[in-house]
Formats: sequence, structure tokens, C-alpha cells
Amino acid sequence: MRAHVLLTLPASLFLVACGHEHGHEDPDVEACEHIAGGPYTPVTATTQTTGAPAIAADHRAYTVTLPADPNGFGGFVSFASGEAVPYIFYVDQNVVAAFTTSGGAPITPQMSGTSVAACTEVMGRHVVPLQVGTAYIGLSSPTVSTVNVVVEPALVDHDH
Amino acid sequence: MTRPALAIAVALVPACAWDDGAPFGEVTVDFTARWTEVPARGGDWQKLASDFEVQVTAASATFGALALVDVGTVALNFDPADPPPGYSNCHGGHCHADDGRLVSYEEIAAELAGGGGPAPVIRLAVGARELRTGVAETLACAGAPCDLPLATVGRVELPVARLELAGLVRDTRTPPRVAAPQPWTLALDRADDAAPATGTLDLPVDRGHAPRITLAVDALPTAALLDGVRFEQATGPTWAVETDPDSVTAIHAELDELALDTDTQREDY
Repeated sequence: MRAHVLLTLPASLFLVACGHEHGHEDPDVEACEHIAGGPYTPVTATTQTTGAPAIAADHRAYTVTLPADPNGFGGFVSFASGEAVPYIFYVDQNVVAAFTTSGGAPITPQMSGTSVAACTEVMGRHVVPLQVGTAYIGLSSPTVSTVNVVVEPALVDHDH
Repeated sequence: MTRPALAIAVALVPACAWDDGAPFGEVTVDFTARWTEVPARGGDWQKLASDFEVQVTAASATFGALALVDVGTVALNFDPADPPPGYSNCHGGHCHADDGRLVSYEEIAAELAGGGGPAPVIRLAVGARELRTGVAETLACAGAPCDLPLATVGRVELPVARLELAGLVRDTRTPPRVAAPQPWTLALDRADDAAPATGTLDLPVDRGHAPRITLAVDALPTAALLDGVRFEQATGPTWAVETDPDSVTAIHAELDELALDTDTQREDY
């Protein structure tokens, strides 16, 4: 029984029944809450990976402003992972997302999609296997200059 | 029964009725504290989220008293997704209070119900511990298992009063942000009211459960504590991490969420 055992108090029974704290069993539902309702943190992507602003899996949406480039709009944000687990990156606009290690090696998503069943706001969903370390996310679009990004661990329990 | 015989019988009743009984439970706590390397982060050199790698050569901590907490039986009376005024960002069994405290669901529920919150039923002194090689010992009450009252023990808490680390850091990025290997030290004191390391338990203490309890509590800090340290600021022959306020804040935030591993064994007398 070694573990972070869930409480078995009436309180926890309520939680299990409710399933509505930050710790949803379905990360899509959690992501939908934040991408539609915030809280929102604005960041401005950089044209190079150097100095890319950090986003995190911290129960919020990051409103990313993409700088103009010759193909429309594009830029980089960074994500520092303290665990070697898959993370899911959600976006609410039709943008291309490319993932690389800090050394520039591409990271191929395990799965990518353009919608989720839980809400209509999500227009991109990428399950990305990350190692401990910093990854860069390149976001680009011919027409979109602002996109909300939410990151969730793909695992069920993402308590601190 | 004659009057003298009745008097003798009545006089003897209290001696039988009030004889010492067994406690509702008794617990022995096996405590381990050890700096722990995480395989996903590497070997001697542990990778950080910041792409630095650290080698921890010395680690020690001063702990407050290990407390077993009676969380009571107040039903949760608020929705963590819509916390009451003064609280936000509820997750992992606690909410963030506006004043910065981490407050457990049970405490908030008790506050809303107008009753007393969770309360320790046992406190066991721990004190200073060397972590690099690790310490395993049995904490007991005067050399014996500790008696437990009727309670619902739902949490174990262990304040971390001070953390001292020393080691080396190097960078995995090119070009490196620090000259490798860069020595560093950390001497970090925690406020008395800082959030303790916490482990959850399912430990009802009553006549319906086996009373003899052996509880293993492991405090196993890892390099995750250093994920937010700005090692790119490292300077001098040996950089003192606590000279960088942002790094100190990051470590405190990690310590606020430090979890204790627990394992419970129960048996009858």
C-alpha cells in the first residue's frame, strides 16, 4: 500500500464522485476549462529559440502572440519538463506546432488531432513524449497572430 | 445479599469497571530520509528541467516534529473547482489561500462548518538528518509504540526547517551557460509556518480496525527541488544559491509541494 493514498474520508468520496477539482481524470476536460475560461497569461513568442518565453502545465492558458515573419506569423515558446512523461499541448487556433529539444532535435508527437470531444474551442491537440529538460514549441500560421495554449500531463494524476 | 456484602461488592465494582483498557491503537513510525536520484534524470549527474545537470555531493536537513494528523470526518462542503472566498487553485488535496498559505481541504471544510480543523494526535521529534547516505530509524514514544486516541488519521506532516546542499553543476546546452563543473552550495531556512512535507494516509483508529500499526514514512527529496534554480547566474569559485532570490523562491515552491511516501501495516494484538 506504499503510496500517495487517496483520502478515504467523506471529503474524498465527494471528490471522486464530483471529479471536478484540478486533477480531472480526463485532461481534455481540464484543458477545455482553461482554454475557454482561463486564467490567461500573455506571452510573446520569440523569432529564435534563444530567450523563448516559458509556458507551463500550471492550470492556465497562455495567450501567445506570434511575431510577423515572411510566411505570416510564427515564433517559439519553451516548456521545461521535470518529468519524463507525455504532455498534451492544446491550441485554440489552426496553427502548426513543431516540437524540438533544446539541442534542436525534433520531437515527434505520439498523436496529433484537430479537435476534442469535450469542447469546441480546441483546434489542435498534440501528445508529445518529453524527457526531463527544456523543449521548444514552434507555432506558426499564415494568418493567425494570437493563440491560446494549454499544457496538461497525459497521465491521469498530475498533482504537484 | 447482606448489607456489608453489598457494600463490599459495590466497592469492588470500580476496580473492575475502570481497569486500564487497551488504547484504540498504537503506532510505531519507521522514518527514512534520503536524497534520492531519479533514473529518468540520469545517474550521479541528475538532469534538471532547465537543461542543467547537478551532482549533489552533500545533503542534510533539519526537520521539525513528524505529526500524525486527525482529519476528522467533516464531509467536504465546497467544490474545489469553485472554492470559497479567500481560496483559489485547488488541487492535490489543498487550495492556495490569498495570503499564500496552502490549506488542506479538511481545514477549509472544518472552517466552513464552523468547527475545529485537523489536529495532530502525535508529534515525534526528528531534528537534523544527513541525507546523502540516508537515515532510517524508528521513531517511538519513550522507546515504546505510541498510543493513539480515537481518530481518523488522514495525513502525516513533516516540517522542513532547513535544507543544506552542496554539489556541482554543468550545462547540457551548447554553448554552456556556466563553466563546468561549477561548484555551488545551498543553505536555506524555512519559515515556521511554511507548508510541511505531507503524505496522505487512510488510518482510521477505532475498535473496528486492527490496533497495532507500523507506519513507514519516507522523505525522499530529489533534484526536482532544483528545477527552478537559475544556475546560469552562478559565479565565483563556489556559488551560493541562496544569493539569488528567484532561485530561493523556486526552491521554496518545490518544498511546499514535497510529498512523503507512506506504507501502513496493521495487525491485531
